[in-house]
Amino acid sequence: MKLKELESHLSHVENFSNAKEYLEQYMTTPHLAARMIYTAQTQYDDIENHLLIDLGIGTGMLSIASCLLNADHIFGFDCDIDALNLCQSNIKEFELESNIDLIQADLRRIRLPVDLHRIIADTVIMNPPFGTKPFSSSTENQDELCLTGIDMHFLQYARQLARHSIYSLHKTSTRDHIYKKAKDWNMNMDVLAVLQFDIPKLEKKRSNRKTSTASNAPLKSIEVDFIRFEIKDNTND
Amino acid sequence: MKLITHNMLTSNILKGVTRGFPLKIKADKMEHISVDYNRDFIARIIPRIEYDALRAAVNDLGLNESLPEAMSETLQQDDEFLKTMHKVLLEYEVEEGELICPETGRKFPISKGIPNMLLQETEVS
Repeated sequence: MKLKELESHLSHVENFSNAKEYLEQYMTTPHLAARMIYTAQTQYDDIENHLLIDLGIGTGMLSIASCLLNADHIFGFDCDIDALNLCQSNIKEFELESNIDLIQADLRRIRLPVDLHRIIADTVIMNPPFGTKPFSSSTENQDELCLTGIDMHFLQYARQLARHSIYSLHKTSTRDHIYKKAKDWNMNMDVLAVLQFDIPKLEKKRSNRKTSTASNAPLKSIEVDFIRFEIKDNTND
Repeated sequence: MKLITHNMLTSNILKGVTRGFPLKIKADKMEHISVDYNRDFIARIIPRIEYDALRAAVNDLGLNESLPEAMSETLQQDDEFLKTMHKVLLEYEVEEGELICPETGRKFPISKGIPNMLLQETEVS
């Protein structure tokens, strides 16, 4: 399948109608998802006939792209049931129920409910939350869930789950920090592209919280690295 | 939730749980869905499957499928066996039910085919 064709198919993936700001929910665009997965397959052969895990599957965009490029099977994790319901609906739309399985699990505080000794995925794909600070430090009710550095948390899981490679997105401003971690965790790291990313800039003032949703918030542009990590110490090939 | 998914899940995220595998399954609503047989895929996935756990799951669900006690090298080449593995791993969907931790009895609900592995703060190990 050609890149344009893939992107065209992905335009049918339905977006969040009420994205949750505290979970940093937004849809990976068809444009970006197509390029990420197309690159992963054509340059590195990491998708076709492989078993994948999608951490923070959200709308299912990356997983659907991967199935369209013939991934064997995908396990997708997300903590939010509304996202999972949307994802399930998208999976049905693409008739991929037999290829993608969903599990509700909280990646922020708890380990994944899988046996980490039995590494299960060839490739991990993800568009993790980047971690924006809570909007009001004085809120008692605010579940401080998406703290800065949460993407490193996701990356750490990915490292434990992947046999060969990980495809992820991280803020360019954190690149040096990630290089260090990749080295510590015995992974090669390649920045495949630098992107201008528009994520909804959500209202800081508490009073606007009720009316502000990710879908009507003004956009904030940040530089993001599309990175491929390769696991080095695997001798089980 | 398919049995291929069940084969991957553990409850070792719970405090006090050593292995938490395999989880017992209680199905309140289950469906059988036909899925195109892909021999290569099944052959590729079998080395990753915990076979005993799969047999236990088949037993929990009361499925009328015969899986031999042990999975030998020769068996992994046998077409009939591969077809049974395909059916068992991919064609049974638990829509509503529970996964049960083998060590603590803690129940994880399955609804609309999605297992819910979220924990309370007090349960986190």
